[in-house]
Amino acid sequence: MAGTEVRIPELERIGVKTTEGLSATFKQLSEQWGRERRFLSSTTEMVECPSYQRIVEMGWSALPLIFRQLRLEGDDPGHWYLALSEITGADPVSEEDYGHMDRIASAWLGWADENGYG
Amino acid sequence: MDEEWGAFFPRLSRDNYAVTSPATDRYNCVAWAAGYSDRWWWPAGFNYWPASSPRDVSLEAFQAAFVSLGYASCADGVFTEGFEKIAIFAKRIDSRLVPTHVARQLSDGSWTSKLGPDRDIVHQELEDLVSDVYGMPVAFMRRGW
Repeated sequence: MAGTEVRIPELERIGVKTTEGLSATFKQLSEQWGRERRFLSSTTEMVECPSYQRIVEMGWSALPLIFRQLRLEGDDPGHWYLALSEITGADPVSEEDYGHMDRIASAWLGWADENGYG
Repeated sequence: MDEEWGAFFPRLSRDNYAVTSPATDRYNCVAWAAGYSDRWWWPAGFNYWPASSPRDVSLEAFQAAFVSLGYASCADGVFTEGFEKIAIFAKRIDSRLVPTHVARQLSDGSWTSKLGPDRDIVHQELEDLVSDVYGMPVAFMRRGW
């Protein structure tokens, strides 16, 4: 088996056994979610997508990958805050920033820095 | 025509729409219909929604949001000189109409739609977007230009 073995129950449930497997699974699910939500305005429907559900099932192990993706997306970030808030239960976004995707991403990247995901 | 779009919107064809923006997550159809391109409007979660309108995913909440912008309900999407119209699309789920999309009429009678995080298009008829993704137009509103 290639890569460093990981023994995390939530990852084992979705068939992930190595760090490389974690990255590959996240990449595949991320691309799938992009296709599934491609025409959706409804964030309510976005979180019902099977790929999104699997990303959330990855739990806290997915956070470094989500934050890396958020940084890669720069000034046009996707709706990663949905998974971040569902996984962590945190709420770093000010109400006045609701809807502003760049400000929401900044708030979450600030949270990442403060919580060891910088 | 983007070949993949046909699978989602079977009534779109090479002759009845034009792409008018790049894809972006910065704004969605509701924001675009309301005249905004800097925020994502949706009556749930961490999205912008007018403070005076209910924050629930219902036809009434969508109508209230556009009332706050000066719109009033009207009968249909037929072009009427002097008025700007919007159409709210919805799908019927468990006997409820659940909003999915909003399109805005342009001054030549065509329609402009932002397709989720994908691109804006101008399309000739509202029916061009009738689909499993958006359902169909179920409510119309208008305001004076």
